[in-house]
Amino acid sequence: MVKNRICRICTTVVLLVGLSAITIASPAHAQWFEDTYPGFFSLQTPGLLQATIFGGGFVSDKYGVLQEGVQVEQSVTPYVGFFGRATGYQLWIGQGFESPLAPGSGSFPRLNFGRFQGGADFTLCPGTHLYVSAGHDVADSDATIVEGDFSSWLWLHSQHPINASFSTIYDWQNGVESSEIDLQTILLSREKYMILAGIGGAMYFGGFLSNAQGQGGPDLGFYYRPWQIGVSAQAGYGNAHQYGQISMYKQLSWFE
Amino acid sequence: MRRDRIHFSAGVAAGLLLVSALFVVSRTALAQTAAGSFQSVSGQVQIQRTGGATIGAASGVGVNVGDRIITGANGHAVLILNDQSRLEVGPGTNIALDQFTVGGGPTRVSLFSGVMRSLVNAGSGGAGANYQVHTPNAVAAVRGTKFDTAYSENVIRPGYQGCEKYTDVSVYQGTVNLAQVGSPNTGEDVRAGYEATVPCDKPPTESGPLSMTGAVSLESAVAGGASFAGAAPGSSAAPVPACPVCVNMTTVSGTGTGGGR
Repeated sequence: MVKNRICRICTTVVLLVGLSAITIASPAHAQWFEDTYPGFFSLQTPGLLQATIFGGGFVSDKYGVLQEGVQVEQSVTPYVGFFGRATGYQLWIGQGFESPLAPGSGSFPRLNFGRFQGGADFTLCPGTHLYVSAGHDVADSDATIVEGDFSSWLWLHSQHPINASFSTIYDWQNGVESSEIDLQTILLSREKYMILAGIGGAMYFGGFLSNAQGQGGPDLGFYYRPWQIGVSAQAGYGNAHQYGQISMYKQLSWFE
Repeated sequence: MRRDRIHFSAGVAAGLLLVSALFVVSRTALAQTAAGSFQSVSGQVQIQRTGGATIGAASGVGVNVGDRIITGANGHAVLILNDQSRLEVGPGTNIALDQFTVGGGPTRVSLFSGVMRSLVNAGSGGAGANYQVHTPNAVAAVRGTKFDTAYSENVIRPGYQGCEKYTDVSVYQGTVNLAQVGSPNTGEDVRAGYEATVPCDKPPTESGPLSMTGAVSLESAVAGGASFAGAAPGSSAAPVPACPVCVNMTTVSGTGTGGGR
């Protein structure tokens, strides 16, 4: 199964590279490419170093999670950057519920682990990013994971741009593929803050899950510009019954 | 008769000289109309006077109508005009104070490159609605108080089909009318909390939320592109990476309600 997945990923990458080569090689498309991705092969000057400090929590009937971490990204070209992310997790598992990290290993009230990831950020067009990363867990989890995050802002030149985002993670330890989809819009933009609202949800399938699981609900966000700090909260219902989650992040950036 | 002619010619010459002198003096006086002074200066900041002299700027140094202010790559300056309006000049910027009138008259600033922030004193006889920032391809006319204007040249941005010059306006308070330089009466009103761009000789874009459309502002020029990209990494809302733990294990096939290892 893992081999099949790897094969699929490899095939997709090869196809993408092939398509890119055809697109670049065609003279008719050369101008289009130059207009769409000006300076594609040049280094970004000045370079941009960005850091995001983040933390959050999730609580449901049977599980609780705290997470905290930092992501650092270095620009290379205007369209490609590399990033590293370190995240710490603390899980509280309700009595009678098995470890979700390693099914069959028994029930544990508390699990702690860290996740270290590295990958690339591709700016596909203004406001649209694709993050691809891989990493490994340490401590109570020993999983190798691959993650893809896609985020696109639509109608940026409007009063209420819409963000569509999709994240998916494959965990080699428990074989579960976790995906999250979210739609948000900017309700209000002011000098010092923005208010965002939308709906989001998550789905889990594969691995030890016989059926797809999921949850979803409305979310609300607040971003304070002077401090570059954001808060996002979501509540909803799903296989974990009622749940609530909150995340906070602080963005920092420097020219080099 | 001849003496009369000589007297007449001398009188005319003297009169012309006097008029010329008055003209020169009045022009000089006009050119040197005091407009304000520097409140703070950091990095390399220079003033080019109307007569051509270039001096270094420092806190307390006066600024006259007609002066050009040029900041270096690390330069930054804050000017307080005599109507208490505040101009903040960012790094790598070149502006000229073309016109200034206290008491509600027109004030006009030309921005040739870089970024500047205007905090216009609309009350107590300040510039108010008569304040304008002109760039080579756009005019930003104020109906509010606080906004950034940036002009970039020889830069290609994605999505603008090879255009190489842009005027960006980011509005923090009030409303600014942004128009092409050739048609100042057909502009787009940009409200507080939003930004818009005039690319090349095209009409202004529709406005979008601040720090999201790629427009240059004083913050992004100084702090390294402080643009809003979304929520926490890897997620648009909350802890994605831990989500497998969200699964209620009672519903997981074969694993039941747990048990010992």
